[in-house]
Amino acid sequence: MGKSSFLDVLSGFIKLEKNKGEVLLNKKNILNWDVKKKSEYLAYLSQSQDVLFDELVRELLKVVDPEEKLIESLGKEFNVLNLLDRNFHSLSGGEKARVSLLRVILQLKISRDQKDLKKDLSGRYLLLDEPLAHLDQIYQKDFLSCLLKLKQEGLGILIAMHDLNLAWNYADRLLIYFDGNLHECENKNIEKDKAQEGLINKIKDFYGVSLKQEVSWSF
Amino acid sequence: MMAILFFLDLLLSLSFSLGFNFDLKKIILEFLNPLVLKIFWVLILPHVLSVILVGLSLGVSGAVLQIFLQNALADPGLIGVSAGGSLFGFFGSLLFKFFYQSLSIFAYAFFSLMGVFAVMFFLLKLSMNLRINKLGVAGIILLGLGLNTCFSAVMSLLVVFLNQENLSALMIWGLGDFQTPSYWILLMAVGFMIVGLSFLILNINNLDKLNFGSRAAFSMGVDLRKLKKSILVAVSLMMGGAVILAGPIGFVGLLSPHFARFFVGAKVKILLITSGFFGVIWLLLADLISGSLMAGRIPVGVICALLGGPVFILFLLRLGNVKSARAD
Repeated sequence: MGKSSFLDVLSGFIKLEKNKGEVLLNKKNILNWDVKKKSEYLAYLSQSQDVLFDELVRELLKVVDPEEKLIESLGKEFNVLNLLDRNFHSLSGGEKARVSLLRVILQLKISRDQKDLKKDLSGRYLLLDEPLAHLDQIYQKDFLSCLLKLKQEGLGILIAMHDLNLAWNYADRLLIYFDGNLHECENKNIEKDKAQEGLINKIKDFYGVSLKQEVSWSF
Repeated sequence: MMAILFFLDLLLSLSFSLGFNFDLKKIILEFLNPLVLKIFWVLILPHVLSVILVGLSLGVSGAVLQIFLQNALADPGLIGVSAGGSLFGFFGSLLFKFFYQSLSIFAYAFFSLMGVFAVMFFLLKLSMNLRINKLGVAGIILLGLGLNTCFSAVMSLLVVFLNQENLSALMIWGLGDFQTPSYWILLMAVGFMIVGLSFLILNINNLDKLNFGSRAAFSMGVDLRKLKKSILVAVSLMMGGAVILAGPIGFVGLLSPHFARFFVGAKVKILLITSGFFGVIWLLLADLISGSLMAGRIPVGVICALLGGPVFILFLLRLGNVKSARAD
């Protein structure tokens, strides 16, 4: 099963046969959740963030937030205020990525009480499928910093990505899908973790690269 | 503009049916003549009202289908209900004629409705089939393609086996034209359209979310299966109403949404209204033109295509500003 299919199963978009296991969100099988209620707790940003028929960014965001309650404030946070009155198709890849991220965060925040805007992403989850593909390095760093900020607001984030080093530098936990199996790594000092030694060596042999602790941005 | 066209169409149709041709002054003077009034109420008004209803259906259905099927080339005929409905209706009329030696518009209406519902249930059932479901919305498009192929085949068979009189009826009908419906038929069509529209109105927000793609819409809380059923039913009902009144008319449903999107953008609520509006204008114009050639009346379906094709191409040539050229 590939990364995208894995996320599809996690979000409930694809239903596996009964004996293959289940996905639980807040202790309830994800397939039993009411789709509308689920959208308040779990959002999924797929790899293709495009919009079929072009529209103004503001209008597109109003689909998620019809009364424009959070568009301005979140727009400022995500630095997309200047994009609100442009057509979506005219945006660059990095700008589209930021707007799409804004859209899913709007979706998760809009259902909450407005009283405590600080920690109101706790208990919410975001699934991202290769969000950094096609992005310039500056935008990659930008995007990942946004995600870190969101993590501090309590958001649970799962990213499917293929850049191991980048993942290693930003994530708290890694799930490495390698050789037909899923391996979990929590320890950042992975070289010192004996349990993971076999895995690390396998990856080294297969890819010819070793996991680096520091990623250097070339700008 | 719609009002102007509406009244113009009413007056001109009346004029022509009385042999006055373009002499509008005469028809206005003659209006109080009881015979003229009767012709107006019985023949002309229902005719023009049906033009408006069909224009609305086509415009709205086309816009909905393009979003729902995630395809800018979707036309309401794509799902197969209009071809199926009109074919059934035609068969029904033939049968009726065979047994009762006369044509009945009620027979046609009855049988075409049967046809529309048959196709609709078929689509609903098969769209839930796992293999077809796996294809996403492309599955529905392909199903419609299969259905339309079957119906075309049957049409072609008819061409081979029908006698001369029925054959020319088939040809004309196949191009899409308006009869003079009775008010009961009009009422039936309006009923279907209202029910169809109400399904759509309940789903406006869901359709807006579909613009982001099916996965994104699902993530935003859209029940895709329920939506699929609602849309299929809504479009079948609206096109059912259109088919009773005018047989299969193509292109209007395909192009109106594109015109509308250019002027008002892609938000579904405004788009549906605007697309319906353009559909009505288009059909009224077509009806005006075809009615004006009363003697050898050209079916409205043909005029629609004759009007629409060139206008759309001109429209494309003016679209947007070009600053650079592509190599392909």
